[in-house]
Amino acid sequence: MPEKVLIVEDEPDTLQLLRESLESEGYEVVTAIDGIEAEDKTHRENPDIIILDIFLPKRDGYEVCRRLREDKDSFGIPIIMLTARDDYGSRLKGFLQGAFDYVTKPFSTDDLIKKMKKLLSTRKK
Amino acid sequence: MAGEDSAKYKEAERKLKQKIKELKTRDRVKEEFLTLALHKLRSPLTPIKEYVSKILDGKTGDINQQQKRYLDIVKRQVERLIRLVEELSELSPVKSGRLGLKKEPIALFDIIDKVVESLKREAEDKGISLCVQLPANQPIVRGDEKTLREVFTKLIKNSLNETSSGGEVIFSVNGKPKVVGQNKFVEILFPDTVGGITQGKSGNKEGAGLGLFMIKSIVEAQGGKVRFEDESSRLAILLPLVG
Repeated sequence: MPEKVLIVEDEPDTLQLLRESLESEGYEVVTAIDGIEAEDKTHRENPDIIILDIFLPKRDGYEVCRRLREDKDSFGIPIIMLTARDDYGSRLKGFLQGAFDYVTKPFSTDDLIKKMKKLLSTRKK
Repeated sequence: MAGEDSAKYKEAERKLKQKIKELKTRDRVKEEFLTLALHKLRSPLTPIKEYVSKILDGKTGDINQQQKRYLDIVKRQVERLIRLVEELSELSPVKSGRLGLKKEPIALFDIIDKVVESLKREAEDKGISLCVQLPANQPIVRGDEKTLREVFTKLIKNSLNETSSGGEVIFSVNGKPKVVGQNKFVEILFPDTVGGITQGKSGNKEGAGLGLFMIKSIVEAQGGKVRFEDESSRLAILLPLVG
């Protein structure tokens, strides 16, 4: 059974890039384009991992991360945040809200996939 | 009369405090805007870079020479945009004054020794002679040691990149203090091959403007000055002397 990834990103071309890249690696992909949809889809789809942008409509990525961490059904799902490079404040804030890891924009999909595989293999143990 | 003066003073103080508060708010809003703007600028760069790389790597099939050439140009320009965004990001903490710069006495030669030591190997590998001309007496300057070391390293590194093998990179400390107004400064002169940072010499115009702006911001935040030497147009950094 393929692992399921929830991608939360409001920019359509970046979302499409992530979808294509992850599907070609054999992942099942579900998507959300704002913070509220991100939480709904998490509860409905129960993904194995979440890729979460920070700046989102309706509810930002930090708030989404914090809420998912506080929910008993979603607190164990690894979250990788998409942050700005050298924005130490964003990264630290992300970790404090419960993100497991981050990739910085502009990112390489190869780097993202490596981090995902690492987190997913750790989770299986 | 005394009562009136006191009331006027209190009113002036109140207005001043209000003005300071407004300026701080404006500064914070600008910084938040800059952070958001930079994030929005970064976002399109990912799909552009990645899709162009996929095509160049042959993942969408063969491409002809002309297509490859055009896409190589696009890739280069995207990398240039990324560098520009990085430079803009670096401005933010300096502009808002939240870099936490120290202003303590530093032995200037210590900074220079560390910079030369860190770049010696690179200069040797490139076949470039890296020289520093120092006065007999050690100037003690006031500033933040770490950021000054980073600024000097950046400038010399740029110069090494602009110098061909067999050439030399010389930077010097002027033995005679410069007096500006009431204050004395030591002058450090950088080679005119600082390249993208120096006035009028720029293959990377955006990087040059922002790089110099960043260096000026850092140096001025420590009480120093950045200027171009009149005769040679070499970049000069003036650091406040202690004592």
